[in-house]
Formats: sequence, structure tokens, C-alpha cells
Amino acid sequence: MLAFFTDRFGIDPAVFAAYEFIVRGRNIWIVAKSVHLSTALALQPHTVGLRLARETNLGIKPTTYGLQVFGHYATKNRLEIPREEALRFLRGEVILRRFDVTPGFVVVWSEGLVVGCGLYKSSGILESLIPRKIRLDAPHSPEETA
Amino acid sequence: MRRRSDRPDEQSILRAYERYKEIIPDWEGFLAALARPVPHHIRVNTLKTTPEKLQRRLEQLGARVTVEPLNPLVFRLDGLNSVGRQIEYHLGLYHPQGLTSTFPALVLDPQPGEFVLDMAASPGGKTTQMAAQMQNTGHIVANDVTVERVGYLKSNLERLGVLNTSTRVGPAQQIPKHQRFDRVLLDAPCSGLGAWRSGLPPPMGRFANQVERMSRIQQHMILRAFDVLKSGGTLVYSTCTLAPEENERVVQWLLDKRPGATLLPFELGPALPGLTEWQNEQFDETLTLARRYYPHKLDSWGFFIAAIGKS
Repeated sequence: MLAFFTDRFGIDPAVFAAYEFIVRGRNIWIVAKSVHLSTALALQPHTVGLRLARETNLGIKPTTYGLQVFGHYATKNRLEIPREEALRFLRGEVILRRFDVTPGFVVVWSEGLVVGCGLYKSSGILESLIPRKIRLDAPHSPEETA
Repeated sequence: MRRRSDRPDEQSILRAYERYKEIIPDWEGFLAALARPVPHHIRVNTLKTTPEKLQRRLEQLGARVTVEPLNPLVFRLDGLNSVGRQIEYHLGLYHPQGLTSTFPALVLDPQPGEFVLDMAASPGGKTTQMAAQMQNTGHIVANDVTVERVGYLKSNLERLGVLNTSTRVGPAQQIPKHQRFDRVLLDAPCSGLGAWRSGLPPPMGRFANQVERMSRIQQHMILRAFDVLKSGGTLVYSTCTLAPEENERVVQWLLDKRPGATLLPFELGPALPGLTEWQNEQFDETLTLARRYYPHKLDSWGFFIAAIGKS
């Protein structure tokens, strides 16, 4: 797990020192280390922490939410797009442009923030891997009232 | 989806509030507040940004930002349509949350490293607020009653980058009694009489029998909330309703059943003290340490908050 984030994105493993990884099925969750964690796990939780990545047939795939937290530490395979393209990316659209990155998963930035996870192909295609249910125009969970 | 024409007319909703007329000061001012839309408030997610950076970004989008003095991490936004459709929302820089809705977690004041229970957590505004207060350390158990409700909670935890929380599905009153938490938030499911303004879906509290039903559920929940609290810990009980049956009566139930429970003082904004009597029901004098927030005294949702200690 750590090797993937180091090899692909150049993230220093020390970034993850304060966290524990929990594997459930094909999902890899990351949660803050705590003396209370074992007690919380005994309560039969539905989820623990944040889903960081998923094991697929093609290897490890990082989640958009995981990269929004830890992608800031990426030193390679990160690319920058302007706000208008970020809006399109968040709608799930493809961006056609060549970037100086290795084909594969990339950390997509815009205006100093990590937007999410993309898949860059050597032909100059940046695919958005923003999950359908959280795309910009998707119906989302109700806004807070009280 | 319910169409506007299917809704009960607003006069019938307002009649439900008349049941509480005697405890609401400046009745006409209260009715005038209900007729106005509630301000758009957002809470800055300090796990991902700073108030200064977010304010700058929102102003660049054309928003007029007013920092709320009672909680400087809450902005009142004017001139920005659909706060849930901005990139900044999707990246978790803020969460739409009423000003008074941020008060229970402020009163609870969870500290980094602590073990905290949020008994009725969905959709997660207060859970994520507490995670930020705790700087993503320690651990929060965020409970709610159905998988669907926990789904909303989970999506907000993810969007806001929360790393110190586990979610749990099930009735809060079934959390094992032997567990002990440093702090417990019971922002109880309620009839919602504080969370209604003209044009919004009608609150459940327009039916007196629903108020009674919620009161019984809350009584079960508050006992368990107290039982799983460490000695010396703090429990905050809050609702977004004005009904004494769901507020003072529930806290009184706890005081009657658990001698170690005591009301703790706090001051936060323009609020009225909790009641000591209502419709021939007497409540302990210390209920005056609880706080009632009314929309005409503070332009946000109506709330009730009680801080409770355990000896």
C-alpha cells in the first residue's frame, strides 16, 4: 500500500505514520491511530475512517477522497488544470490535452487544491475518475438544515 | 416528492406553534421571523482550509461573506446561488450548516485525542465539526439508525476529509452499556419545530402526538447517552425544536433516573434559560442552565441545548 503511494506519487511514507490501514474486502481504509480504535472496532462499525484505495484486477486504485487529503504530498504524477476544466473534470468529462506525467493514475490539481483522481492515457486523454454519485451535477445528500 | 400544493397550508402549521405561545417571548416577532427565509450559513472546514483562504475564494466567486461573531468559523453568505454546487463545496472546504446548529459541538468542546460518541449523527454536520475541533485525532463513533442515513453521513465524512471517525448503524439506545466515552453528543431526532421557516416542508411537530412520540424516544436515548459517559465527562443534549416535551421534560427524566447527572452552565449568544415549568409540569431549578434559542432573537434555527456532567 505505502509502496504504491511512494512509487506512483512520490509521497513520503512518513506522511502515513499517524494512521492505520484497515483492509475490508478489496477496500483499504485509513484511520487516525488512537488508543480508542480497538474499542471502536468492537462496536461493529459500518465504516472506519476514509476509504483510501481499492484493490482492482489492474492493481491499486486510489480514491478521489483519499487523494484530496493525501494528494497534497505528491511530488510526481500530479497535474494542474484551470478552474473551467476542473468544473468539467468534476462533472466526469474527459480532458483532451497532453501533460508531462507518466500514463496511469494522477493527482489532479486546480487553483492550489486537489480536485481528485484521474487516469491519464498516453494518447493525451485525461479521464475523470470522480464517482458518478458525487459529480458536480449529480443529486447529492441533503444540505444541512438544523 | 411532495408538491407544494400537497403541503398543509402555512396557517395550519402556525397554529401548531400556538401551543407554545406562552413560553415564546415577543410572539409577533417570532411569527415575523418564521415568515422570513433563514440565512445561508456555511461552516469552514479547518481540516482542509483556513477561514481567510475560504473567504477570499468565496468573494472571488461574487459572494458577500459575513463572519458570524458567535462562531467565527461560520460565514453568512449572500449573493451566491447554490452553495452545494461550487467546487469548494465538492472539495470539502465548507459545509452548509446553520449558525445555531454549530453550537452543540461548541458547548461539548471535544479535545484532540478524546473518545467521543455522536449518537444521532447523520447527516454529519456536527460530527465533521467535532472532527475538526479534535484535529482529526482521537476517535469519534458516529451512530445513526439506518444504512441510508449513515450513507449521507459517510459521504459528508469523506468530502470533508475526516480520518478519525467510524460509523455505526443501529438504534443509539442499543450501544452497549459498558462502553465509556469522554464526551457524548446527543443531538436528538426531534419534531423540528425550530427548523421551520415559511416555504419549507412542514415540521413533524405540527402534530401533538408526534411530539409525545419523539419525547419517549429521546428519554430512552438520553439515559443510554449518560450511561456510556465516563465519570467527569460531558454530555450535550440538543434538539432543533421548541417543545418542552422534547427538551426540559427529557432532561428532567434523566435527572430523575440518574442521580449523578447535573446541569452545567454555559453562555453562548442571545438565548433564554430553560424552563422550570410548563403546563402544570415542574422541572428542576437547574434547568435554567440550559439554553433556548429562538429565531427572532438570533437569525438562525431554533435550538435547545443542555450541557450535563456526570459525577
